[in-house]
Amino acid sequence: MPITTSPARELGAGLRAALPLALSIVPFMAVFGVLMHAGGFSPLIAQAMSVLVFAGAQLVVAQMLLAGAPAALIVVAGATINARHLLYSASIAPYLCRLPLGWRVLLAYLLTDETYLLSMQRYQQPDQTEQRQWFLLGAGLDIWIACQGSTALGCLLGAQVPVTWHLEFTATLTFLALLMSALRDWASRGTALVAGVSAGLVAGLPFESGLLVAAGLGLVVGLTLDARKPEQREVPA
Amino acid sequence: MTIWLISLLVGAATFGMRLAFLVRARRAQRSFSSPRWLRFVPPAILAALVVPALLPARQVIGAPLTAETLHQVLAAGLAAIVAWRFQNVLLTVASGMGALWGLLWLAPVTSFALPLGVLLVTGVGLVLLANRLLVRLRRQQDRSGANSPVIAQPAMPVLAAERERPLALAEPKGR
Repeated sequence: MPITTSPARELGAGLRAALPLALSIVPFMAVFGVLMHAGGFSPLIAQAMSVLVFAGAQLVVAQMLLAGAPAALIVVAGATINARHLLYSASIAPYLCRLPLGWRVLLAYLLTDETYLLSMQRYQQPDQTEQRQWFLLGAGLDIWIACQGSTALGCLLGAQVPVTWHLEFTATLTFLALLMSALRDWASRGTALVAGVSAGLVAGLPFESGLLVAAGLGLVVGLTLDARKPEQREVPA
Repeated sequence: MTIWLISLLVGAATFGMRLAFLVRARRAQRSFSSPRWLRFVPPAILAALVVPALLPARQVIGAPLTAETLHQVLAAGLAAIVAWRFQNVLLTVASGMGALWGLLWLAPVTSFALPLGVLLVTGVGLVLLANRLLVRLRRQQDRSGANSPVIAQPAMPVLAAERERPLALAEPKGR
Protein backbone atom coordinates (compact mmCIF):
# COMPACT_ATOMS: atom_id res chain seq x y z
CA MET A 1 0.00 0.00 0.00
CA PRO A 2 1.76 3.17 -1.12
CA ILE A 3 1.77 6.18 1.15
CA THR A 4 -0.32 9.03 -0.21
CA THR A 5 1.27 12.44 -0.08
CA SER A 6 0.10 15.62 -1.71
CA PRO A 7 1.17 16.45 -5.29
CA ALA A 8 2.51 19.76 -4.00
CA ARG A 9 4.97 18.00 -1.70
CA GLU A 10 6.32 15.74 -4.44
CA LEU A 11 6.52 18.72 -6.82
CA GLY A 12 8.43 20.68 -4.19
CA ALA A 13 10.79 17.75 -3.61
CA GLY A 14 11.48 17.56 -7.35
CA LEU A 15 12.07 21.30 -7.62
CA ARG A 16 14.46 21.25 -4.67
CA ALA A 17 16.35 18.14 -5.83
CA ALA A 18 16.99 19.47 -9.34
CA LEU A 19 17.99 22.99 -8.33
CA PRO A 20 21.77 22.35 -8.03
CA LEU A 21 21.74 20.50 -11.36
CA ALA A 22 19.72 23.28 -13.00
CA LEU A 23 22.30 25.82 -11.81
CA SER A 24 25.21 23.76 -13.07
CA ILE A 25 23.78 23.36 -16.59
CA VAL A 26 23.45 27.14 -16.95
CA PRO A 27 27.07 27.76 -18.08
CA PHE A 28 26.91 24.78 -20.45
CA MET A 29 23.71 25.90 -22.17
CA ALA A 30 24.98 29.47 -22.24
CA VAL A 31 27.91 28.17 -24.30
CA PHE A 32 25.35 26.77 -26.76
CA GLY A 33 23.79 30.23 -27.09
CA VAL A 34 27.22 31.80 -27.52
CA LEU A 35 28.15 29.28 -30.23
CA MET A 36 24.92 29.88 -32.12
CA HIS A 37 25.53 33.63 -31.88
CA ALA A 38 29.07 33.14 -33.17
CA GLY A 39 27.73 31.13 -36.10
CA GLY A 40 25.53 34.06 -37.08
CA PHE A 41 22.27 32.27 -36.29
CA SER A 42 19.35 34.26 -34.89
CA PRO A 43 18.44 33.95 -31.19
CA LEU A 44 15.05 32.68 -32.37
CA ILE A 45 16.47 29.52 -33.94
CA ALA A 46 18.77 28.94 -30.96
CA GLN A 47 15.82 29.17 -28.60
CA ALA A 48 13.68 27.00 -30.86
CA MET A 49 16.37 24.30 -30.85
CA SER A 50 16.52 24.43 -27.05
CA VAL A 51 12.75 23.88 -26.93
CA LEU A 52 12.66 21.19 -29.63
CA VAL A 53 15.76 19.16 -28.74
CA PHE A 54 16.15 19.97 -25.02
CA ALA A 55 19.25 17.80 -24.58
CA GLY A 56 23.03 18.08 -24.33
CA ALA A 57 23.39 17.04 -27.99
CA GLN A 58 22.52 20.62 -28.95
CA LEU A 59 26.11 21.67 -28.27
CA VAL A 60 27.43 19.03 -30.67
CA VAL A 61 24.86 20.12 -33.27
CA ALA A 62 25.97 23.73 -32.86
CA GLN A 63 29.65 22.77 -33.14
CA MET A 64 28.97 20.74 -36.30
CA LEU A 65 26.93 23.61 -37.77
CA LEU A 66 29.83 25.97 -37.18
CA ALA A 67 32.24 23.49 -38.71
CA GLY A 68 30.02 23.39 -41.81
CA ALA A 69 29.15 19.69 -41.61
CA PRO A 70 26.45 18.38 -43.99
CA ALA A 71 22.92 18.52 -42.59
CA ALA A 72 22.26 14.77 -42.82
CA LEU A 73 25.42 14.03 -40.84
CA ILE A 74 24.39 16.50 -38.13
CA VAL A 75 20.96 14.89 -37.80
CA VAL A 76 22.43 11.38 -37.57
CA ALA A 77 25.05 12.46 -35.03
CA GLY A 78 22.48 14.34 -32.92
CA ALA A 79 20.09 11.39 -32.92
CA THR A 80 22.88 8.92 -32.06
CA ILE A 81 24.07 10.95 -29.09
CA ASN A 82 20.50 11.20 -27.84
CA ALA A 83 19.84 7.49 -28.34
CA ARG A 84 20.64 7.00 -24.65
CA HIS A 85 17.18 8.40 -23.97
CA LEU A 86 15.86 5.04 -25.20
CA LEU A 87 17.53 3.46 -22.19
CA TYR A 88 16.14 6.15 -19.90
CA SER A 89 12.66 5.63 -21.29
CA ALA A 90 12.87 1.86 -20.87
CA SER A 91 14.19 2.01 -17.35
CA ILE A 92 11.73 4.61 -16.03
CA ALA A 93 8.69 3.16 -17.81
CA PRO A 94 7.83 0.64 -15.05
CA TYR A 95 7.31 3.54 -12.65
CA LEU A 96 5.23 5.70 -14.95
CA CYS A 97 3.27 3.27 -17.13
CA ARG A 98 0.06 3.54 -15.08
CA LEU A 99 -0.31 7.28 -15.74
CA PRO A 100 -2.72 8.71 -18.32
CA LEU A 101 -1.27 9.31 -21.79
CA GLY A 102 -1.10 13.09 -21.33
CA TRP A 103 1.15 12.72 -18.31
CA ARG A 104 3.38 10.17 -20.04
CA VAL A 105 3.86 12.43 -23.09
CA LEU A 106 4.67 15.44 -20.90
CA LEU A 107 7.11 13.48 -18.70
CA ALA A 108 8.74 11.92 -21.78
CA TYR A 109 9.45 15.43 -23.07
CA LEU A 110 11.03 16.37 -19.72
CA LEU A 111 13.13 13.17 -19.53
CA THR A 112 16.72 14.45 -19.66
CA ASP A 113 19.95 13.04 -18.21
CA GLU A 114 19.45 15.03 -15.03
CA THR A 115 15.74 14.45 -14.45
CA TYR A 116 16.08 10.74 -15.27
CA LEU A 117 18.90 10.20 -12.77
CA LEU A 118 17.18 12.16 -10.01
CA SER A 119 13.85 10.43 -10.52
CA MET A 120 15.40 6.96 -10.58
CA GLN A 121 17.13 7.74 -7.29
CA ARG A 122 13.81 8.93 -5.86
CA TYR A 123 11.72 6.05 -7.21
CA GLN A 124 14.11 3.43 -5.83
CA GLN A 125 13.53 4.64 -2.29
CA PRO A 126 11.12 2.56 -0.20
CA ASP A 127 8.58 5.31 0.59
CA GLN A 128 6.83 5.27 -2.77
CA THR A 129 3.71 7.36 -3.30
CA GLU A 130 0.94 7.50 -5.86
CA GLN A 131 2.04 11.04 -6.70
CA ARG A 132 5.49 10.18 -8.01
CA GLN A 133 4.88 11.83 -11.39
CA TRP A 134 4.96 15.24 -9.66
CA PHE A 135 8.59 14.70 -8.64
CA LEU A 136 9.71 14.25 -12.24
CA LEU A 137 7.56 17.22 -13.27
CA GLY A 138 9.20 19.43 -10.63
CA ALA A 139 12.72 18.36 -11.60
CA GLY A 140 11.84 18.76 -15.30
CA LEU A 141 10.53 22.29 -14.75
CA ASP A 142 13.78 23.30 -13.06
CA ILE A 143 15.91 21.91 -15.86
CA TRP A 144 13.64 23.26 -18.60
CA ILE A 145 13.62 26.80 -17.22
CA ALA A 146 17.40 26.72 -16.67
CA CYS A 147 17.94 25.40 -20.20
CA GLN A 148 15.73 28.02 -21.89
CA GLY A 149 16.97 30.87 -19.71
CA SER A 150 20.65 30.10 -20.25
CA THR A 151 20.20 29.71 -24.01
CA ALA A 152 18.72 33.22 -24.08
CA LEU A 153 21.53 34.43 -21.80
CA GLY A 154 24.18 32.92 -24.10
CA CYS A 155 22.62 34.56 -27.17
CA LEU A 156 22.52 37.90 -25.32
CA LEU A 157 26.08 37.74 -24.05
CA GLY A 158 27.37 36.52 -27.40
CA ALA A 159 31.03 37.15 -27.94
CA GLN A 160 31.50 38.52 -24.43
CA VAL A 161 32.11 34.97 -23.20
CA PRO A 162 35.59 33.95 -24.42
CA VAL A 163 36.25 30.33 -25.42
CA THR A 164 39.20 30.25 -23.00
CA TRP A 165 36.81 30.13 -20.05
CA HIS A 166 36.00 26.50 -20.95
CA LEU A 167 32.46 26.89 -19.62
CA GLU A 168 31.37 23.75 -21.49
CA PHE A 169 33.52 21.81 -18.99
CA THR A 170 30.78 22.37 -16.38
CA ALA A 171 28.64 19.76 -18.16
CA THR A 172 31.39 17.15 -17.80
CA LEU A 173 31.79 18.04 -14.13
CA THR A 174 28.03 17.77 -13.56
CA PHE A 175 27.99 14.29 -15.11
CA LEU A 176 31.06 13.41 -13.05
CA ALA A 177 29.24 14.38 -9.85
CA LEU A 178 26.27 12.22 -10.86
CA LEU A 179 28.61 9.38 -11.81
CA MET A 180 30.33 9.38 -8.42
CA SER A 181 26.95 9.13 -6.69
CA ALA A 182 26.02 6.16 -8.92
CA LEU A 183 29.06 4.07 -7.85
CA ARG A 184 27.43 2.54 -4.80
CA ASP A 185 28.59 -1.06 -5.24
CA TRP A 186 31.35 -2.99 -7.01
CA ALA A 187 29.20 -4.03 -9.95
CA SER A 188 28.40 -0.37 -10.69
CA ARG A 189 32.07 0.55 -10.34
CA GLY A 190 33.06 -2.20 -12.77
CA THR A 191 30.39 -1.00 -15.19
CA ALA A 192 31.64 2.58 -15.02
CA LEU A 193 35.29 1.55 -15.37
CA VAL A 194 34.71 -0.57 -18.47
CA ALA A 195 32.28 1.91 -20.04
CA GLY A 196 34.67 4.82 -19.39
CA VAL A 197 37.83 3.14 -20.66
CA SER A 198 36.13 1.72 -23.74
CA ALA A 199 34.47 5.08 -24.46
CA GLY A 200 37.96 6.59 -24.42
CA LEU A 201 39.25 3.89 -26.76
CA VAL A 202 36.43 4.12 -29.31
CA ALA A 203 36.01 7.92 -29.17
CA GLY A 204 36.85 8.15 -32.88
CA LEU A 205 33.90 6.06 -34.12
CA PRO A 206 31.65 7.79 -36.69
CA PHE A 207 28.40 9.58 -35.73
CA GLU A 208 29.45 9.70 -32.07
CA SER A 209 28.31 6.08 -31.77
CA GLY A 210 31.17 5.27 -29.38
CA LEU A 211 28.91 6.29 -26.49
CA LEU A 212 26.43 3.50 -27.15
CA VAL A 213 29.11 0.87 -27.81
CA ALA A 214 30.90 1.76 -24.58
CA ALA A 215 27.71 1.90 -22.52
CA GLY A 216 26.67 -1.49 -23.92
CA LEU A 217 30.01 -3.03 -22.92
CA GLY A 218 29.65 -1.50 -19.47
CA LEU A 219 26.16 -2.96 -19.05
CA VAL A 220 27.42 -6.45 -19.99
CA VAL A 221 30.24 -6.20 -17.43
CA GLY A 222 27.86 -4.91 -14.76
CA LEU A 223 25.48 -7.81 -15.30
CA THR A 224 28.35 -10.32 -15.25
CA LEU A 225 29.70 -8.94 -11.98
CA ASP A 226 26.17 -8.86 -10.57
CA ALA A 227 25.52 -12.49 -11.51
CA ARG A 228 28.80 -13.64 -9.98
CA LYS A 229 28.10 -12.18 -6.53
CA PRO A 230 24.37 -12.54 -5.97
CA GLU A 231 24.63 -12.19 -2.20
CA GLN A 232 26.03 -8.66 -2.47
CA ARG A 233 23.38 -7.47 -4.91
CA GLU A 234 21.44 -4.37 -3.95
CA VAL A 235 17.75 -5.18 -4.02
CA PRO A 236 15.82 -2.38 -5.72
CA ALA A 237 12.73 -1.34 -3.85
CA MET B 1 16.19 26.93 -43.70
CA THR B 2 18.18 23.72 -43.29
CA ILE B 3 18.88 24.62 -39.67
CA TRP B 4 15.16 24.56 -38.90
CA LEU B 5 14.94 21.14 -40.52
CA ILE B 6 17.92 19.91 -38.48
CA SER B 7 16.37 21.20 -35.24
CA LEU B 8 13.04 19.64 -36.08
CA LEU B 9 14.49 16.25 -37.03
CA VAL B 10 16.88 15.98 -34.07
CA GLY B 11 14.09 17.17 -31.79
CA ALA B 12 11.59 14.67 -33.19
CA ALA B 13 14.11 11.82 -32.95
CA THR B 14 14.96 12.73 -29.35
CA PHE B 15 11.33 13.04 -28.29
CA GLY B 16 10.48 9.79 -30.06
CA MET B 17 13.22 7.96 -28.18
CA ARG B 18 12.13 9.49 -24.88
CA LEU B 19 8.55 8.41 -25.50
CA ALA B 20 9.39 5.00 -27.00
CA PHE B 21 8.80 2.93 -23.86
CA LEU B 22 6.32 5.29 -22.23
CA VAL B 23 3.77 5.47 -25.02
CA ARG B 24 2.14 2.13 -24.23
CA ALA B 25 0.44 1.77 -20.87
CA ARG B 26 1.06 -1.57 -19.26
CA ARG B 27 -0.79 -3.50 -16.64
CA ALA B 28 -0.21 -2.48 -13.05
CA GLN B 29 1.12 -5.80 -11.73
CA ARG B 30 4.08 -5.75 -14.11
CA SER B 31 5.00 -2.23 -13.17
CA PHE B 32 7.77 -2.95 -10.67
CA SER B 33 9.42 -6.00 -12.21
CA SER B 34 12.20 -3.99 -13.84
CA PRO B 35 15.05 -5.99 -15.38
CA ARG B 36 18.37 -6.10 -13.53
CA TRP B 37 20.40 -4.42 -16.24
CA LEU B 38 18.53 -1.14 -15.82
CA ARG B 39 20.40 -0.52 -12.58
CA PHE B 40 23.63 -0.23 -14.58
CA VAL B 41 22.33 2.33 -17.07
CA PRO B 42 23.38 5.41 -15.01
CA PRO B 43 27.01 4.38 -14.33
CA ALA B 44 27.52 3.06 -17.88
CA ILE B 45 26.11 6.11 -19.67
CA LEU B 46 27.70 8.66 -17.34
CA ALA B 47 31.17 7.09 -17.55
CA ALA B 48 30.86 6.88 -21.34
CA LEU B 49 29.93 10.58 -21.40
CA VAL B 50 32.63 11.79 -19.04
CA VAL B 51 35.77 10.05 -20.30
CA PRO B 52 35.65 11.14 -23.98
CA ALA B 53 34.71 14.67 -22.87
CA LEU B 54 38.05 14.85 -21.03
CA LEU B 55 39.98 13.89 -24.14
CA PRO B 56 40.47 16.33 -27.02
CA ALA B 57 38.01 15.90 -29.90
CA ARG B 58 38.49 12.68 -31.89
CA GLN B 59 41.43 11.59 -29.80
CA VAL B 60 41.59 8.23 -28.10
CA ILE B 61 43.32 6.90 -24.99
CA GLY B 62 46.97 6.19 -25.68
CA ALA B 63 47.56 9.22 -27.87
CA PRO B 64 50.19 11.61 -26.48
CA LEU B 65 48.87 13.84 -23.70
CA THR B 66 48.41 17.48 -24.57
CA ALA B 67 48.59 20.20 -21.93
CA GLU B 68 44.86 20.86 -22.29
CA THR B 69 43.94 17.22 -21.72
CA LEU B 70 46.22 17.08 -18.71
CA HIS B 71 44.60 20.16 -17.20
CA GLN B 72 41.12 18.75 -17.74
CA VAL B 73 42.03 15.32 -16.38
CA LEU B 74 43.63 16.84 -13.27
CA ALA B 75 40.69 19.19 -12.69
CA ALA B 76 38.26 16.30 -13.16
CA GLY B 77 40.30 14.17 -10.76
CA LEU B 78 40.00 16.80 -8.06
CA ALA B 79 36.29 17.24 -8.81
CA ALA B 80 35.79 13.47 -8.57
CA ILE B 81 37.35 13.43 -5.11
CA VAL B 82 35.16 16.37 -4.05
CA ALA B 83 32.08 14.63 -5.46
CA TRP B 84 32.93 11.40 -3.67
CA ARG B 85 33.62 13.14 -0.38
CA PHE B 86 30.84 15.76 -0.26
CA GLN B 87 28.07 14.42 -2.57
CA ASN B 88 27.36 17.97 -3.71
CA VAL B 89 26.92 18.84 -7.39
CA LEU B 90 27.51 22.58 -7.12
CA LEU B 91 30.63 22.13 -5.00
CA THR B 92 31.93 19.57 -7.52
CA VAL B 93 31.40 21.90 -10.48
CA ALA B 94 32.89 24.86 -8.61
CA SER B 95 36.01 22.98 -7.50
CA GLY B 96 36.53 21.48 -10.97
CA MET B 97 36.21 24.83 -12.73
CA GLY B 98 38.39 26.47 -10.09
CA ALA B 99 41.08 23.84 -10.58
CA LEU B 100 40.89 24.13 -14.37
CA TRP B 101 41.16 27.92 -14.31
CA GLY B 102 43.97 27.73 -11.78
CA LEU B 103 45.90 25.29 -13.95
CA LEU B 104 45.28 27.32 -17.10
CA TRP B 105 46.46 30.44 -15.31
CA LEU B 106 49.55 28.71 -13.96
CA ALA B 107 50.49 26.93 -17.19
CA PRO B 108 52.06 29.88 -19.08
CA VAL B 109 53.82 31.07 -15.92
CA THR B 110 55.52 27.82 -15.12
CA SER B 111 55.43 26.24 -18.60
CA PHE B 112 56.08 22.84 -17.12
CA ALA B 113 52.57 21.47 -16.93
CA LEU B 114 53.66 17.86 -16.68
CA PRO B 115 55.78 18.04 -13.50
CA LEU B 116 53.12 20.33 -12.05
CA GLY B 117 50.53 17.70 -12.79
CA VAL B 118 52.59 14.96 -11.19
CA LEU B 119 53.07 17.16 -8.13
CA LEU B 120 49.36 17.87 -7.93
CA VAL B 121 48.43 14.22 -8.24
CA THR B 122 50.91 13.34 -5.50
CA GLY B 123 49.56 16.14 -3.34
CA VAL B 124 45.97 15.10 -3.82
CA GLY B 125 46.94 11.49 -3.11
CA LEU B 126 48.65 12.54 0.12
CA VAL B 127 45.62 14.59 1.17
CA LEU B 128 43.38 11.60 0.46
CA LEU B 129 45.65 9.30 2.46
CA ALA B 130 45.73 11.75 5.37
CA ASN B 131 41.96 12.08 5.19
CA ARG B 132 41.47 8.32 5.28
CA LEU B 133 43.85 8.00 8.24
CA LEU B 134 42.03 10.80 10.06
CA VAL B 135 38.66 9.18 9.46
CA ARG B 136 39.98 5.84 10.71
CA LEU B 137 41.50 7.49 13.77
CA ARG B 138 38.26 9.33 14.53
CA ARG B 139 36.29 6.13 14.11
CA GLN B 140 38.63 4.33 16.53
CA GLN B 141 38.27 7.16 19.02
CA ASP B 142 34.49 7.06 18.69
CA ARG B 143 34.54 3.31 19.21
CA SER B 144 36.75 3.44 22.31
CA GLY B 145 34.65 6.30 23.68
CA ALA B 146 31.44 4.39 23.13
CA ASN B 147 32.69 1.11 24.59
CA SER B 148 34.34 2.41 27.75
CA PRO B 149 32.73 5.60 29.03
CA VAL B 150 34.20 4.92 32.49
CA ILE B 151 37.80 5.23 31.24
CA ALA B 152 36.96 8.21 29.03
CA GLN B 153 35.60 10.34 31.86
CA PRO B 154 38.56 10.62 34.27
CA ALA B 155 40.72 11.96 31.42
CA MET B 156 39.48 15.47 32.22
CA PRO B 157 40.97 15.93 35.73
CA VAL B 158 44.30 14.45 34.56
CA LEU B 159 44.53 17.03 31.78
CA ALA B 160 43.65 19.84 34.16
CA ALA B 161 46.35 18.76 36.63
CA GLU B 162 48.95 18.67 33.87
CA ARG B 163 47.99 22.13 32.79
CA GLU B 164 48.47 23.53 36.28
CA ARG B 165 51.91 22.05 36.94
CA PRO B 166 54.00 23.96 34.34
CA LEU B 167 52.28 27.19 35.32
CA ALA B 168 53.25 26.73 38.95
CA LEU B 169 56.86 26.03 37.90
CA ALA B 170 57.03 28.99 35.57
CA GLU B 171 55.95 31.56 38.12
CA PRO B 172 58.94 31.49 40.45
CA LYS B 173 61.36 31.37 37.49
CA GLY B 174 59.99 34.67 36.15
CA ARG B 175 60.66 36.49 39.43
